[in-house]
Amino acid sequence: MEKETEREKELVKLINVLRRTSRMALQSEWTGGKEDAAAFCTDQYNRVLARLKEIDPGVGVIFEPLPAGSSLTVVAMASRQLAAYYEDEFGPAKGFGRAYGFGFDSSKFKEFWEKSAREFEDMGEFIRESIDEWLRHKKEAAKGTKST
Amino acid sequence: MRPYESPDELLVVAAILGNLEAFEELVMRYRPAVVRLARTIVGADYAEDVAQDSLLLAFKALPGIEEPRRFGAWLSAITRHRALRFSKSETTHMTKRVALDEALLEKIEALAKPLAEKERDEAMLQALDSLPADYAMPLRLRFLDEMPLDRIAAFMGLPLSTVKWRIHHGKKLLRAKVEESE
Repeated sequence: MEKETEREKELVKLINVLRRTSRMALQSEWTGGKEDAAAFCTDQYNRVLARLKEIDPGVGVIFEPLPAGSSLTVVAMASRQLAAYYEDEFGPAKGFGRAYGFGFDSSKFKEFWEKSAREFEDMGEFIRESIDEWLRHKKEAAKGTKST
Repeated sequence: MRPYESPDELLVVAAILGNLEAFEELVMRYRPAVVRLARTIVGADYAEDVAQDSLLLAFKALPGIEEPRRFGAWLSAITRHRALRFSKSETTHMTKRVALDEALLEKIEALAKPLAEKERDEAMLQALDSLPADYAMPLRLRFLDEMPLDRIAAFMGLPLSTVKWRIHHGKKLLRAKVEESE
């Protein structure tokens, strides 16, 4: 029983590392991260995977270590998928900064919306006004392709 | 446990910017409530038409939403308004559709999807019909449409605690009605 609890505790920790690795990799890519960031994240992913294979051999059937030189996007995707493998057992990440590479803070969103709502409204209106014209062009283009 | 879902406000912003998948997700979240609300005003025969029109109107009006976080309550107000103005001689086919409507109907499958009615205990449904609307609506959304409590609260513009209490008390009333009829 105690052994089982220890296993669960360690799994939760490893999944947290995977989630954080996924976020770090994505954020690093968005902010122009270099090869050393990708190498660090790849190494971290491979270490977590190796430990998971020891605790839960079944995971090795689906997940392979990442090759050196993997991009930040690939590491982010792999980390997210590996964390997702345990989601039914431990549930999704809770609170701010969930499993999907970005966090959502509703109070920050409120501030952002107070400043930017007008711009979104204008852009949204513009998109809706343009849809008819865009559809017309699309239909004409489709007709043109058929007739040629 | 509910899997992680994007908050309504994020989907609203994406939908304002023309992301139809985001709007479809909002439609799937709230369509059952829209149809149920329309039913209480125009009756079952016209509820689907009113729901579809309300959702099309919502897509068009979305850029002007004041609080994206309160999308549910905003949609509920649009539905109520549309249902109250709906004339029974009017049908979806007669409503003038513009290209945008056609495009939305073509792209968003959930807009045209009728509310799935599973087989239910007839006595239970009759008992539900006889309950005051304040209790019947959250009970239907919760147990017939399997909507999460926070979404019911968002749509009805009520605090979560009120919805929980109405469901709790509504169940008691429902039980009494079913026992009465047996």
